[in-house]
Amino acid sequence: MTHIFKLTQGDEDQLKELLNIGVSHASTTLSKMLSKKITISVPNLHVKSAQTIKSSVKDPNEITIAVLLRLTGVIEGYILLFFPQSAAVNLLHALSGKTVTDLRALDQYDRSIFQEVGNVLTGGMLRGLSQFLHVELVQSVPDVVIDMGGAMFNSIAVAMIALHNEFLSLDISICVDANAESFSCEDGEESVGNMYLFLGPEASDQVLKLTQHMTTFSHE
Amino acid sequence: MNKYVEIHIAELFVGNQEYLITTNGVGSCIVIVLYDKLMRIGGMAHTILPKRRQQDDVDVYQHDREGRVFVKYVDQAIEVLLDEMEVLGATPEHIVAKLVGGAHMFTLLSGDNHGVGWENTQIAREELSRKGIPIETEVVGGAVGRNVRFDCSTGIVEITTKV
Repeated sequence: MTHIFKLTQGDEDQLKELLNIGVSHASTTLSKMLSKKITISVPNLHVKSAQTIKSSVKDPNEITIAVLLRLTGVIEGYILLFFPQSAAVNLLHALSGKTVTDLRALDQYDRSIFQEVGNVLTGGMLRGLSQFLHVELVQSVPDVVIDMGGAMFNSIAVAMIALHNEFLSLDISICVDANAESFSCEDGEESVGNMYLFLGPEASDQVLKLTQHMTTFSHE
Repeated sequence: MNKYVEIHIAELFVGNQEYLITTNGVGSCIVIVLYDKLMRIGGMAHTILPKRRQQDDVDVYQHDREGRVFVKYVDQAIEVLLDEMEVLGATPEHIVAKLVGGAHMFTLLSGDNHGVGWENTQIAREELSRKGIPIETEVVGGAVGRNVRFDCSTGIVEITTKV
Protein backbone atom coordinates (compact mmCIF):
# COMPACT_ATOMS: atom_id res chain seq x y z
CA MET A 1 0.00 0.00 0.00
CA THR A 2 1.05 3.60 -0.53
CA HIS A 3 1.96 5.43 2.65
CA ILE A 4 0.53 8.89 3.09
CA PHE A 5 3.08 9.98 5.66
CA LYS A 6 6.57 10.51 4.33
CA LEU A 7 8.39 11.78 7.38
CA THR A 8 12.14 12.23 7.48
CA GLN A 9 14.11 11.64 10.68
CA GLY A 10 14.32 15.43 10.97
CA ASP A 11 10.53 15.74 10.73
CA GLU A 12 10.06 13.10 13.41
CA ASP A 13 12.53 14.84 15.72
CA GLN A 14 10.75 18.15 15.20
CA LEU A 15 7.36 16.66 16.03
CA LYS A 16 8.69 14.92 19.13
CA GLU A 17 10.39 18.09 20.30
CA LEU A 18 7.20 20.02 19.80
CA LEU A 19 5.31 17.55 21.96
CA ASN A 20 8.05 17.86 24.57
CA ILE A 21 7.58 21.62 24.65
CA GLY A 22 3.83 21.27 25.07
CA VAL A 23 3.96 18.53 27.65
CA SER A 24 6.57 20.28 29.79
CA HIS A 25 4.03 23.10 30.25
CA ALA A 26 1.33 20.57 31.08
CA SER A 27 3.51 18.71 33.57
CA THR A 28 4.32 21.93 35.44
CA THR A 29 0.59 22.44 35.95
CA LEU A 30 0.05 18.86 37.10
CA SER A 31 3.04 19.13 39.41
CA LYS A 32 1.42 22.15 41.11
CA MET A 33 -1.90 20.32 41.44
CA LEU A 34 -0.33 17.25 43.04
CA SER A 35 2.59 18.94 44.82
CA LYS A 36 4.83 16.24 43.41
CA LYS A 37 7.70 16.12 41.00
CA ILE A 38 6.51 15.16 37.53
CA THR A 39 8.68 13.73 34.81
CA ILE A 40 7.73 12.83 31.28
CA SER A 41 9.05 10.10 29.07
CA VAL A 42 10.68 10.56 25.69
CA PRO A 43 7.85 10.87 23.14
CA ASN A 44 7.05 7.93 20.88
CA LEU A 45 5.95 8.56 17.33
CA HIS A 46 4.06 6.04 15.23
CA VAL A 47 2.22 6.21 11.94
CA LYS A 48 -0.96 4.21 12.50
CA SER A 49 -3.18 2.56 9.93
CA ALA A 50 -5.69 -0.30 9.90
CA GLN A 51 -2.77 -2.74 9.73
CA THR A 52 -0.92 -1.27 12.67
CA ILE A 53 -3.54 -0.30 15.26
CA LYS A 54 -3.53 -3.68 16.95
CA SER A 55 -1.41 -3.93 20.12
CA SER A 56 -1.44 -0.16 20.57
CA VAL A 57 -2.58 -0.48 24.19
CA LYS A 58 -0.49 -2.43 26.71
CA ASP A 59 -3.38 -4.06 28.55
CA PRO A 60 -6.46 -3.73 26.32
CA ASN A 61 -8.83 -5.40 28.79
CA GLU A 62 -7.95 -3.22 31.77
CA ILE A 63 -10.54 -0.73 32.97
CA THR A 64 -9.14 2.67 32.07
CA ILE A 65 -10.30 6.27 32.19
CA ALA A 66 -10.08 7.99 28.82
CA VAL A 67 -10.35 11.75 28.49
CA LEU A 68 -10.72 12.79 24.87
CA LEU A 69 -10.48 16.36 23.59
CA ARG A 70 -10.79 17.63 20.08
CA LEU A 71 -8.18 20.09 18.91
CA THR A 72 -9.39 22.81 16.56
CA GLY A 73 -7.97 25.99 15.10
CA VAL A 74 -4.88 26.09 12.90
CA ILE A 75 -4.07 22.48 13.79
CA GLU A 76 -6.83 19.87 14.00
CA GLY A 77 -6.64 16.55 15.77
CA TYR A 78 -7.43 14.77 19.01
CA ILE A 79 -5.74 14.63 22.38
CA LEU A 80 -6.33 11.51 24.45
CA LEU A 81 -5.40 11.03 28.08
CA PHE A 82 -5.34 7.47 29.40
CA PHE A 83 -5.37 6.79 33.13
CA PRO A 84 -5.09 3.09 34.02
CA GLN A 85 -7.13 1.76 36.97
CA SER A 86 -4.52 1.92 39.77
CA ALA A 87 -3.08 5.28 38.74
CA ALA A 88 -6.55 6.80 38.30
CA VAL A 89 -7.65 5.64 41.77
CA ASN A 90 -4.56 7.30 43.27
CA LEU A 91 -4.94 10.43 41.21
CA LEU A 92 -8.54 10.80 42.35
CA HIS A 93 -7.47 10.34 45.98
CA ALA A 94 -4.70 12.90 45.59
CA LEU A 95 -7.03 15.47 44.06
CA SER A 96 -10.27 14.99 45.98
CA GLY A 97 -9.35 12.89 49.03
CA LYS A 98 -11.91 10.33 47.92
CA THR A 99 -11.09 6.62 48.02
CA VAL A 100 -12.64 4.30 45.45
CA THR A 101 -11.65 0.73 44.68
CA ASP A 102 -13.21 0.41 41.26
CA LEU A 103 -13.30 3.08 38.57
CA ARG A 104 -16.68 1.85 37.35
CA ALA A 105 -18.20 3.15 40.57
CA LEU A 106 -17.23 6.76 39.87
CA ASP A 107 -20.07 9.24 40.05
CA GLN A 108 -20.60 12.37 38.01
CA TYR A 109 -18.53 14.47 40.42
CA ASP A 110 -15.56 12.08 40.22
CA ARG A 111 -15.79 12.05 36.45
CA SER A 112 -15.79 15.83 36.39
CA ILE A 113 -12.47 15.77 38.26
CA PHE A 114 -10.95 13.81 35.39
CA GLN A 115 -12.58 16.22 32.97
CA GLU A 116 -10.81 19.00 34.80
CA VAL A 117 -7.51 17.11 34.76
CA GLY A 118 -7.98 16.81 31.00
CA ASN A 119 -8.66 20.53 30.74
CA VAL A 120 -5.65 21.45 32.84
CA LEU A 121 -3.17 19.11 31.14
CA THR A 122 -4.34 19.83 27.62
CA GLY A 123 -4.75 23.54 28.32
CA GLY A 124 -1.18 23.66 29.61
CA MET A 125 0.07 21.83 26.58
CA LEU A 126 -1.80 23.98 24.07
CA ARG A 127 -0.72 27.17 25.80
CA GLY A 128 2.89 26.04 25.43
CA LEU A 129 2.42 25.17 21.79
CA SER A 130 0.48 28.36 21.00
CA GLN A 131 3.24 30.47 22.51
CA PHE A 132 5.91 28.60 20.59
CA LEU A 133 4.16 28.48 17.23
CA HIS A 134 2.31 31.82 17.51
CA VAL A 135 -0.98 30.27 16.45
CA GLU A 136 -4.32 29.88 18.15
CA LEU A 137 -5.21 26.38 19.28
CA VAL A 138 -8.59 25.60 20.76
CA GLN A 139 -9.68 22.54 22.72
CA SER A 140 -13.19 21.12 23.05
CA VAL A 141 -14.97 20.18 26.26
CA PRO A 142 -13.40 16.90 27.46
CA ASP A 143 -15.31 13.67 26.89
CA VAL A 144 -14.71 11.23 29.79
CA VAL A 145 -15.33 7.51 29.23
CA ILE A 146 -14.57 4.60 31.54
CA ASP A 147 -14.28 1.20 29.86
CA MET A 148 -11.73 -1.28 28.53
CA GLY A 149 -8.68 0.54 27.18
CA GLY A 150 -8.51 -1.47 23.96
CA ALA A 151 -12.10 -0.78 22.89
CA MET A 152 -11.73 2.94 23.62
CA PHE A 153 -8.40 3.28 21.81
CA ASN A 154 -9.73 1.32 18.83
CA SER A 155 -12.83 3.54 18.57
CA ILE A 156 -10.69 6.67 18.35
CA ALA A 157 -8.20 5.07 15.95
CA VAL A 158 -11.07 3.95 13.69
CA ALA A 159 -12.48 7.48 13.63
CA MET A 160 -9.05 8.76 12.54
CA ILE A 161 -8.67 6.03 9.90
CA ALA A 162 -12.16 6.79 8.58
CA LEU A 163 -11.05 10.38 8.00
CA HIS A 164 -7.44 9.96 6.90
CA ASN A 165 -6.59 6.27 6.26
CA GLU A 166 -3.36 6.87 8.18
CA PHE A 167 -2.67 9.08 11.16
CA LEU A 168 0.19 10.14 13.33
CA SER A 169 0.21 9.09 16.97
CA LEU A 170 2.58 10.88 19.34
CA ASP A 171 2.51 9.60 22.90
CA ILE A 172 4.29 10.17 26.19
CA SER A 173 4.04 8.72 29.70
CA ILE A 174 3.53 11.13 32.55
CA CYS A 175 5.31 9.97 35.70
CA VAL A 176 5.06 11.09 39.32
CA ASP A 177 8.10 10.76 41.59
CA ALA A 178 8.68 7.35 43.08
CA ASN A 179 7.91 8.38 46.69
CA ALA A 180 4.18 8.02 46.23
CA GLU A 181 3.81 4.39 47.26
CA SER A 182 1.01 3.13 45.13
CA PHE A 183 1.53 4.92 41.86
CA SER A 184 2.93 2.42 39.44
CA CYS A 185 5.12 2.91 36.45
CA GLU A 186 7.57 1.13 34.23
CA ASP A 187 11.30 1.63 34.65
CA GLY A 188 10.96 2.25 38.38
CA GLU A 189 9.17 5.55 37.91
CA GLU A 190 5.59 6.19 38.85
CA SER A 191 3.18 6.69 35.97
CA VAL A 192 -0.01 8.71 36.18
CA GLY A 193 -1.00 8.04 32.64
CA ASN A 194 -0.38 8.50 28.98
CA MET A 195 -1.05 11.39 26.71
CA TYR A 196 -1.60 10.86 22.99
CA LEU A 197 -1.74 13.44 20.25
CA PHE A 198 -3.41 12.21 17.06
CA LEU A 199 -2.89 14.19 13.87
CA GLY A 200 -4.01 13.55 10.31
CA PRO A 201 -1.68 14.14 7.33
CA GLU A 202 -2.82 17.76 6.78
CA ALA A 203 -2.41 18.68 10.45
CA SER A 204 1.01 17.06 10.59
CA ASP A 205 2.12 18.99 7.47
CA GLN A 206 0.79 22.16 9.01
CA VAL A 207 2.70 21.55 12.26
CA LEU A 208 5.94 20.87 10.35
CA LYS A 209 5.47 24.01 8.24
CA LEU A 210 4.94 26.10 11.35
CA THR A 211 7.93 24.66 13.20
CA GLN A 212 10.17 25.04 10.15
CA HIS A 213 9.01 28.64 9.83
CA MET A 214 9.76 29.25 13.52
CA THR A 215 13.19 27.65 13.27
CA THR A 216 14.09 29.66 10.15
CA PHE A 217 12.75 32.82 11.76
CA SER A 218 14.76 32.33 14.94
CA HIS A 219 17.95 31.75 12.91
CA GLU A 220 17.55 34.95 10.91
CA MET B 1 -9.91 -30.24 22.09
CA ASN B 2 -10.42 -26.68 20.86
CA LYS B 3 -7.91 -24.79 18.82
CA TYR B 4 -7.83 -21.23 20.09
CA VAL B 5 -7.42 -18.34 17.65
CA GLU B 6 -7.46 -14.67 18.62
CA ILE B 7 -8.16 -12.21 15.86
CA HIS B 8 -7.22 -8.57 16.16
CA ILE B 9 -8.89 -5.48 14.83
CA ALA B 10 -9.30 -5.59 11.01
CA GLU B 11 -8.81 -9.36 10.83
CA LEU B 12 -11.01 -12.36 10.14
CA PHE B 13 -10.71 -16.09 10.62
CA VAL B 14 -12.72 -19.07 9.40
CA GLY B 15 -12.55 -22.53 10.96
CA ASN B 16 -14.31 -25.83 11.52
CA GLN B 17 -15.75 -27.22 14.77
CA GLU B 18 -12.29 -27.51 16.33
CA TYR B 19 -11.90 -23.76 16.59
CA LEU B 20 -12.64 -21.23 19.28
CA ILE B 21 -12.28 -17.70 17.92
CA THR B 22 -11.97 -14.64 20.16
CA THR B 23 -11.49 -10.93 19.70
CA ASN B 24 -11.06 -8.07 22.16
CA GLY B 25 -11.43 -4.31 22.15
CA VAL B 26 -14.64 -4.05 20.14
CA GLY B 27 -15.87 -0.46 20.30
CA SER B 28 -17.31 1.16 17.18
CA CYS B 29 -16.06 -1.82 15.15
CA ILE B 30 -18.57 -4.49 14.23
CA VAL B 31 -17.87 -8.16 14.76
CA ILE B 32 -19.63 -10.32 12.17
CA VAL B 33 -20.03 -13.97 13.06
CA LEU B 34 -21.28 -16.36 10.36
CA TYR B 35 -22.15 -19.97 11.18
CA ASP B 36 -23.25 -23.04 9.27
CA LYS B 37 -25.04 -25.10 11.93
CA LEU B 38 -25.19 -28.20 9.78
CA MET B 39 -21.52 -28.41 8.87
CA ARG B 40 -20.34 -26.65 12.04
CA ILE B 41 -18.19 -24.22 10.13
CA GLY B 42 -17.88 -20.69 11.41
CA GLY B 43 -16.11 -17.45 10.80
CA MET B 44 -15.57 -14.20 12.66
CA ALA B 45 -14.55 -10.80 11.28
CA HIS B 46 -13.57 -7.77 13.39
CA THR B 47 -14.23 -5.04 10.85
CA ILE B 48 -13.62 -1.36 11.35
CA LEU B 49 -15.30 0.63 8.58
CA PRO B 50 -18.52 0.26 6.57
CA LYS B 51 -17.57 0.22 2.89
CA ARG B 52 -14.54 0.17 0.68
CA ARG B 53 -13.79 3.59 -0.73
CA GLN B 54 -12.88 4.00 -4.38
CA GLN B 55 -9.52 5.63 -3.82
CA ASP B 56 -8.51 3.20 -1.12
CA ASP B 57 -5.69 0.94 -2.22
CA VAL B 58 -5.75 -1.39 0.78
CA ASP B 59 -6.81 -4.84 -0.27
CA VAL B 60 -7.66 -8.06 1.47
CA TYR B 61 -4.63 -10.29 1.84
CA GLN B 62 -3.58 -13.43 3.65
CA HIS B 63 -2.36 -12.13 6.96
CA ASP B 64 -0.45 -14.91 8.65
CA ARG B 65 0.35 -18.59 8.70
CA GLU B 66 -2.52 -19.43 11.03
CA GLY B 67 -4.98 -18.23 8.40
CA ARG B 68 -6.04 -14.85 9.75
CA VAL B 69 -6.92 -12.50 6.93
CA PHE B 70 -6.57 -8.72 7.00
CA VAL B 71 -9.85 -7.05 6.11
CA LYS B 72 -10.98 -3.53 6.89
CA TYR B 73 -14.48 -3.16 5.54
CA VAL B 74 -17.81 -4.73 6.47
CA ASP B 75 -18.88 -5.45 2.87
CA GLN B 76 -15.52 -7.04 1.99
CA ALA B 77 -15.45 -9.08 5.20
CA ILE B 78 -18.86 -10.65 4.54
CA GLU B 79 -17.74 -11.71 1.07
CA VAL B 80 -14.44 -13.17 2.29
CA LEU B 81 -16.16 -14.96 5.19
CA LEU B 82 -18.69 -16.56 2.83
CA ASP B 83 -16.02 -17.54 0.29
CA GLU B 84 -13.74 -19.10 2.90
CA MET B 85 -16.59 -20.91 4.61
CA GLU B 86 -17.75 -22.36 1.31
CA VAL B 87 -14.21 -23.59 0.64
CA LEU B 88 -14.42 -25.51 3.93
CA GLY B 89 -17.77 -27.02 2.91
CA ALA B 90 -20.41 -24.62 4.23
CA THR B 91 -23.53 -23.90 2.15
CA PRO B 92 -24.97 -20.36 2.08
CA GLU B 93 -28.54 -21.64 2.72
CA HIS B 94 -27.49 -22.95 6.15
CA ILE B 95 -25.51 -19.89 7.23
CA VAL B 96 -26.82 -17.54 9.89
CA ALA B 97 -25.25 -14.34 11.20
CA LYS B 98 -24.67 -12.74 14.59
CA LEU B 99 -23.59 -9.13 15.00
CA VAL B 100 -21.76 -7.64 17.98
CA GLY B 101 -20.36 -4.12 18.50
CA GLY B 102 -21.09 -0.89 16.67
CA ALA B 103 -20.92 1.10 19.88
CA HIS B 104 -20.76 4.86 20.17
CA MET B 105 -18.21 5.30 22.95
CA PHE B 106 -17.25 8.97 22.57
CA THR B 107 -19.82 11.63 21.77
CA LEU B 108 -16.97 13.83 20.52
CA LEU B 109 -16.21 11.46 17.65
CA SER B 110 -19.54 11.39 15.86
CA GLY B 111 -19.85 15.01 14.74
CA ASP B 112 -23.22 15.60 13.12
CA ASN B 113 -23.89 12.04 12.02
CA HIS B 114 -24.64 8.84 13.92
CA GLY B 115 -21.01 7.73 14.13
CA VAL B 116 -18.94 4.93 12.60
CA GLY B 117 -20.47 2.27 14.88
CA TRP B 118 -23.98 2.96 13.62
CA GLU B 119 -22.84 3.02 9.99
CA ASN B 120 -20.99 -0.28 10.44
CA THR B 121 -24.13 -1.88 11.86
CA GLN B 122 -26.36 -0.55 9.07
CA ILE B 123 -24.04 -1.74 6.30
CA ALA B 124 -23.65 -5.16 7.93
CA ARG B 125 -27.46 -5.53 8.06
CA GLU B 126 -27.83 -4.37 4.44
CA GLU B 127 -25.07 -6.59 3.07
CA LEU B 128 -26.30 -9.66 4.95
CA SER B 129 -29.85 -9.05 3.75
CA ARG B 130 -28.56 -8.65 0.17
CA LYS B 131 -26.80 -12.01 0.45
CA GLY B 132 -29.89 -13.63 1.98
CA ILE B 133 -28.16 -14.41 5.29
CA PRO B 134 -30.56 -14.12 8.25
CA ILE B 135 -29.35 -12.29 11.35
CA GLU B 136 -30.04 -14.60 14.29
CA THR B 137 -28.84 -12.32 17.08
CA GLU B 138 -27.61 -8.76 17.42
CA VAL B 139 -25.89 -7.16 20.40
CA VAL B 140 -25.11 -3.78 18.90
CA GLY B 141 -25.03 -0.09 19.73
CA GLY B 142 -24.85 1.48 23.16
CA ALA B 143 -21.71 3.07 24.51
CA VAL B 144 -19.88 0.04 25.77
CA GLY B 145 -16.74 -1.87 24.76
CA ARG B 146 -17.07 -5.62 24.20
CA ASN B 147 -14.96 -8.78 24.00
CA VAL B 148 -16.31 -11.63 21.88
CA ARG B 149 -15.76 -15.41 22.02
CA PHE B 150 -17.20 -17.72 19.38
CA ASP B 151 -17.25 -21.50 19.62
CA CYS B 152 -17.36 -23.05 16.13
CA SER B 153 -18.52 -26.41 17.52
CA THR B 154 -21.77 -24.99 18.91
CA GLY B 155 -22.21 -21.59 17.25
CA ILE B 156 -22.48 -19.98 20.68
CA VAL B 157 -21.19 -16.41 20.96
CA GLU B 158 -20.23 -15.10 24.40
CA ILE B 159 -19.93 -11.37 24.93
CA THR B 160 -18.07 -9.76 27.82
CA THR B 161 -18.54 -6.17 28.90
CA LYS B 162 -16.91 -4.49 31.85
CA VAL B 163 -19.06 -1.52 32.76
